[in-house]
Amino acid sequence: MSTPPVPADVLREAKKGSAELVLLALLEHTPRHGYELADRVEADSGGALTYNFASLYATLYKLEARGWIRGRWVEKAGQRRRRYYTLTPAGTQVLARQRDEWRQFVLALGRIAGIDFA
Amino acid sequence: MTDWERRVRQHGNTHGIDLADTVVEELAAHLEDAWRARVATAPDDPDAFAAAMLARADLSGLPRPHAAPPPAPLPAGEGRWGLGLLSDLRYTLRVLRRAPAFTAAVVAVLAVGLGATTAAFRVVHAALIAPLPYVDADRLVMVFERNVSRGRARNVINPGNFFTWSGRATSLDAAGVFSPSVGNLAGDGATPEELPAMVVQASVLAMTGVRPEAGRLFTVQDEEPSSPPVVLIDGGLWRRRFGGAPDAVGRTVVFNGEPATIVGVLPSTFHVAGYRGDVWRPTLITAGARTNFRGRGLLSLARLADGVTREQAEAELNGIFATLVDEHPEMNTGWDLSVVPVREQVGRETRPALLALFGAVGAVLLVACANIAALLLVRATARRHDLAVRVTLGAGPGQVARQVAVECLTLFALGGVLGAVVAAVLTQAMWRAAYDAGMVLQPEGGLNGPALAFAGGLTLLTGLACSLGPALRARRLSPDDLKAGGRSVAASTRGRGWLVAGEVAAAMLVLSGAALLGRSYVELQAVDPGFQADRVITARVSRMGAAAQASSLAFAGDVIARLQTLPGVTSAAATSFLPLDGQVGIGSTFRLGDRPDPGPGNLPVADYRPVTPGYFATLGIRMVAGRDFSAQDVGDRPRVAIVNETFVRQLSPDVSPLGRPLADSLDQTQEIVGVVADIALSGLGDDPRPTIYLPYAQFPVGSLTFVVRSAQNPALLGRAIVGAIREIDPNQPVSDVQPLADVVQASLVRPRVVTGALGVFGTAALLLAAIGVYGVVAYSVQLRRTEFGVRLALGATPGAIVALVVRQSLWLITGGVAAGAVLAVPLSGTLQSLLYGVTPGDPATLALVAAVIAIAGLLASYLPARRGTAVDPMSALRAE
Repeated sequence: MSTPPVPADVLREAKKGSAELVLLALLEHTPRHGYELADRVEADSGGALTYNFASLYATLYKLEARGWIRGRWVEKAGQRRRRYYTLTPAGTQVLARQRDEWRQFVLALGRIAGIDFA
Repeated sequence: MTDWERRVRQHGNTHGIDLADTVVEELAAHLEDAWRARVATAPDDPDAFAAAMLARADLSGLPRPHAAPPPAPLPAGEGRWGLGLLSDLRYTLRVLRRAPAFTAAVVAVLAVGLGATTAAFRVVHAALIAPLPYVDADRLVMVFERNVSRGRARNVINPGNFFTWSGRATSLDAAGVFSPSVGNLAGDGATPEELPAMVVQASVLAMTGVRPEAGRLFTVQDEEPSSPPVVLIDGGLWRRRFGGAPDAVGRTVVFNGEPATIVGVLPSTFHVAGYRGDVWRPTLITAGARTNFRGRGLLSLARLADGVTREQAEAELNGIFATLVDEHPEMNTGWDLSVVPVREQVGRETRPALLALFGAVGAVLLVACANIAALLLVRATARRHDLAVRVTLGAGPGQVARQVAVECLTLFALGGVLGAVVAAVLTQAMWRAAYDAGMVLQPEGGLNGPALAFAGGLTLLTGLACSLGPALRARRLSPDDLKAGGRSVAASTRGRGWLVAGEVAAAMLVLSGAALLGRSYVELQAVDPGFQADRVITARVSRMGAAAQASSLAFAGDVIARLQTLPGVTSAAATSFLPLDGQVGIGSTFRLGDRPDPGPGNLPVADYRPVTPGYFATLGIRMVAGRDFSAQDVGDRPRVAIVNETFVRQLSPDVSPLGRPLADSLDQTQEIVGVVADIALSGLGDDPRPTIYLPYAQFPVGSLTFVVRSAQNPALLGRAIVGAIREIDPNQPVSDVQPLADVVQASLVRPRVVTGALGVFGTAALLLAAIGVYGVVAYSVQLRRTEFGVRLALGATPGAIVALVVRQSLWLITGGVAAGAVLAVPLSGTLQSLLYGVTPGDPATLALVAAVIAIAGLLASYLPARRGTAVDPMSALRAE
């Protein structure tokens, strides 16, 4: 299922602002490491969202400093060790709050700008 | 370093960006994953793909090595606990050194609270809990004779009964009798003195398993009347009077007028069921003793046979006793036997007072700990910034909580160690007070094993309890708490509010007890003893030994005559049992000779008191009807008696008792010739009982206490009185030379000590609770400074602000007082036996205490509230 590519300039700020929500949401149920997160973002958004891998980690470290996620090194047999991130209780609360805020924002946007959603 | 890590570093260096090792590692891993994925899906030049990815990467937002995040990797789990604890301890000591006033205050309060509680425990443990110093102490019992209808639950026993049931019982391995007494020791060059003595069967000593410090114990041979007289002496007496000389054993002394050989020395701490003596004599078992079914006066100790319970033994003994009731109805009707474990008997009387004191000390400690817990909560809130930084730097919630707990526990450990020192000092004072109040047999030493264990356990328990709140709060910290204010502050204030309400409740409890006891003591002091104690001095002699007793009548007469010639003396007399001096006295059944015999179980009982003529006048006891004894009422003349008003009220309410015949339990008849007013015999708070006074000349029994009324200060007569007595008999020891007023005061020593102690503790608890209220209100006022500034700027008066604050603290105080009052009602029931003239839970007393606490609490909240009005509205608004 392919969607037409989105013009980059319109959504650059929106992408930046939604990065936290996206990462928190992806970590809600499963611990993941950085590459896994980048991969899921691209796959689940159908290519609409991609992150420069360095800025992905910058965002992850920022989230960790706020105490919303926590990272731990895990070494699996036969592999190099990777840093897995999980959501903290504080992060869960933040995720819920941000979801609400985005939901309201999007609804308002829809009413004003006349955007329909499936 | 792998190839990928090298490449990431190179890329960073190209842009002048130095990255942390772990960041490099993570980026490298990501690149490697991307490369592998590329290899799997599109095999054309994955290297170029990865290189392009790296080239596009903007590394500027990534952390540098010196900035620390992401934090250094932890091994799986949350840090190694052992090393963590050590570093927490070091950190704690640094933190505490930086706040010396806080640390000193907390440690000092803890030391006093923990120390006082430990000292109280030392005494209570020794008196009530510690196993008695006997072999197999839990198998030892005392056997009492019991008469429920007369309210005699643990009465002394009759010898005939004892020898019968002890001979037939199979549930007892051994049994023996003993009785406390006094004795006069002389004949070894030192001054004759009257000493506490014990008359004891050899089997009693054997049952306890005591080992003599020197010499031997009594044997069954020593109990034969034909055996040479022997005594055992107490270790303390041995050292004091005999210098601890080894050859004291074997020496002959004069005891109660007769020569006796010292055969052994008992340990100075030895007692039989709480009774002790300086000199011990063997019971002399005459042939008549085994069939003596008149009179009760002995105590008995027995050892349960293996596998037999107390209830089984009691059942068997009462089966035997039933035949004794049939065989000797006049002695035994209405009586049975009760078997009581020795541990239960010892300390029975003192248990309520000791437990009340221990409870009060414990309550003060609780209040102190509550204050400290509140203080720790405030401190935790103040340090939340400090701790939040640790969380941000990667400390897990468990680590932060552990650090806070270590800090609290360290404070408590310091307080506990210092508290042990305080306890060692306070223990001596507690022993002194308890001994003076007659609550312990003798003062013991300092802290022992159980006391130290208690101190350690108490410190740990209180430390853990007080660290719980701050530690749990610390667990919930997040980097968000780096911002000012927040919910944690409000929660801390609420927590403190609960603590302080609890403190107020505890203060209410202790003060209620103190107030009830205080009122009771005042009532006791106001009781009219029925005699005039001022200007009367007393002196006691015990005429022990056959020779002395034979001459006691002449002795008494001579001494009284001599005393009456002393300057200033207006009258002198003697009695066998001085009122309120603590002696039990003689009680016996009797019947009115002109009434039908009511039967052995229904005979009334009266206290018998031998007195000399002039006794009532000397003591100022009111003569209600009839006459006093005279010099004509002597042994070969018709026997007479004087009774008290209670006797008349209970036994001869409609007919004048004068002239009526009394028959005592020895079948001697007396004619009632007088009636006197009731006096307090055993205790100021006790109800008066029927009393029969007999002329000493017709009933010369017991030790003699001389009473002398003088026109001047009676205390000045002491030496003259002793001199007069020594003139008549130089070898007669004289003891307890004291004003009668002192005797009356001494009878109140225990209520005085207990009330005083509870008053001190109650005041301490109130002070601490007031400090707690002050602290909570002061802190809350400080938080609300801005709000008050705004209110003032908007026109509120300072009075309104104060009223606002005080009203809100009223909730706290009212709640605490109410909770304390609700608890005080049932708890004061445990003081029942110590109260006189006031019921436990007396509403007026509780209301008064509640009012005092409420006023103290309001004052404690008014002071900081007033400071809250000193806010400058303009600066408060600017801060907003």
